Amino acid sequence: MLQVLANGLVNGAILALMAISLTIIFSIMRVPHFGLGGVFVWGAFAAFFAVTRFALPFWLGVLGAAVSMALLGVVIERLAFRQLRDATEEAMFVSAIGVLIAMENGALLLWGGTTQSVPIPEGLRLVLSIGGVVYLPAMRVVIFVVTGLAFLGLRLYVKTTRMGKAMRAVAQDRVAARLLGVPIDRVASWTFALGSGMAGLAGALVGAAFTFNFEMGSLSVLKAFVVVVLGGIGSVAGAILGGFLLGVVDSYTLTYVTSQYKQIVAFSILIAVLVLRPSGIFGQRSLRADAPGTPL
Amino acid sequence: MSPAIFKAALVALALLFPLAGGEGYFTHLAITMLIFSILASSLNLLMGYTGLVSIAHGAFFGIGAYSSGILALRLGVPFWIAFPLGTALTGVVAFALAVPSFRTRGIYYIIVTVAFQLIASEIFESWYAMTGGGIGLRGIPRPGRLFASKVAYYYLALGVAAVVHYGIVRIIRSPVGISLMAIRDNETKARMMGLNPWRYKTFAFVFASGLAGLAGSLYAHYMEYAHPDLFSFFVSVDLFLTVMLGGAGTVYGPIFGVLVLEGIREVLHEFVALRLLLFGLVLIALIVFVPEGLLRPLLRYARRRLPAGPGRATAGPLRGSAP
Repeated sequence: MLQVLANGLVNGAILALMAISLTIIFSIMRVPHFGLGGVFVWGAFAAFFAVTRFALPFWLGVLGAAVSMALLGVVIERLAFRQLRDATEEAMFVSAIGVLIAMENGALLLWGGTTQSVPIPEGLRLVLSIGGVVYLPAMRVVIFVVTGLAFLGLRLYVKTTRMGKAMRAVAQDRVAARLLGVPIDRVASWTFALGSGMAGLAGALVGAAFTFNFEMGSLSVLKAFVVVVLGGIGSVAGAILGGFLLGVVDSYTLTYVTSQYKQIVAFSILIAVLVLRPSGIFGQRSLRADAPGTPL
Repeated sequence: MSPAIFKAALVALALLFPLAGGEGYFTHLAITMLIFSILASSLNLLMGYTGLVSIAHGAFFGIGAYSSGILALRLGVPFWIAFPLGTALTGVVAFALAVPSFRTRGIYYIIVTVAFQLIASEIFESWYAMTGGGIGLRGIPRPGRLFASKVAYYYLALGVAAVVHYGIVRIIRSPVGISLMAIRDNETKARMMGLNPWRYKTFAFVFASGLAGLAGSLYAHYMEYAHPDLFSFFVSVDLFLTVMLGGAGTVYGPIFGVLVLEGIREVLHEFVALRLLLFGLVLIALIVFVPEGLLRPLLRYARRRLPAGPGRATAGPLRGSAP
């Protein structure tokens, strides 16, 4: 019972990390960036190759994955979204689906379809026991800690730095921000770097704690979107709460209800929340989800 | 060549094609293209004319295929009853999705359709007792002895596709079609003019999804087989790309899209990953550079080369400017 809860919370942390990266890009640049699923997969591969082929230490490999995915995110924004900045969200969604499919299948072509795992150092292989009731591999605890750090770091960045301020300005009112001289292109690049870096980090961590393959991205990003909707679109704190909630719900349905139809629950929740309560379960504002300009 | 002669030649080609194709591969390809043209055209009615982007078309395709296949295989219902029943059932499911989903808009609407697609896919995969799960539903009968051969089935598909395309064109050019376009362009304005957007959108969604079910039934009884992969999320994205490529909101664009994409699919049959990579990149390139699709620019180019009237330039409905 408690073990199921613990597993759910770990999954929730990963979902939350993905959801945060989705939500910052969406609330600042209005891009529903489902291509982050592809970035997630590539992040796992980047960490894998950094550790296996280039024999980097584990931590450096994970960091390298995050940094390289941040750079890739900037390139993706340039190629697939910059031209669409004044287009509808639908158009950007289409482009994002293109990115997702291209990246997943690109990974399959380049690196094959086998399910692998990022090798972890000896020190992280142990299993922690909490009072003899709950057993957690150390790697899963790492996921928790890193998600927390990423959240705090992001918050600090957005609240204190100049670029963070610019991001908040763009999120609130892009036209006004541009009038006041906020460099939109640079804000876009940094936003995509941040979001993609976090998605890459999530991929690397999942690849190390569990296993990964080329097609895990689309499901993760869709579930992350469920989390974003649950938590209220545009709310980072909501994304975290939503992540834990969905992680735990998933974990319990998997164990006690059905393992056959495990995605149906998540996606039914998605439809129900979008239809019945578009501001999300934790959303304070009675804004409809489709109202423009949701602040961070 | 004047348009009338061109059209006559096209009809003659369609009617006489099996004489050359026989029971071979090209007849098979032609049947597949006919069925996919129904899917693309009906999706176009939604995307291009009503402004509802659906990523659930593959799911409705599958619901039609599975329901008709299951009726025929497990209950022994003859094709001529299973075919309309499967179509009607798909329409009912579409109605059940349409009612709640129209409370959402924009990408949230698309996401609802994506979620529905994934739920449907999971049911196709996991409901072993009914769908056969990952093994698929095998041995769905062909409709009677009359349509057992590929050539005969070609004519069946041709007839159904012709009726469907004719019906869709008639709808587009009728007051209903014009109302749909008015709702697509500005729903508030359409409502102000006394249209009931909800009613029109529901009609378009149920009609188009029902046609997807009809195509599914036709497909399942042709392939004598149904499998979750044939109706997956990627199939929905493929269909979406087909309509985008030809040009959403044009009558012939989707059919052009089917010719091109089915061609690519056949050439890259063995290389699924490469094909999907290519499709992903094409999707990005299309939406960024030619959101109106390829057919219209090509025709404009052709008209410039040949002496004729100038082509019209309009933006695709997907790439309007942001509010």
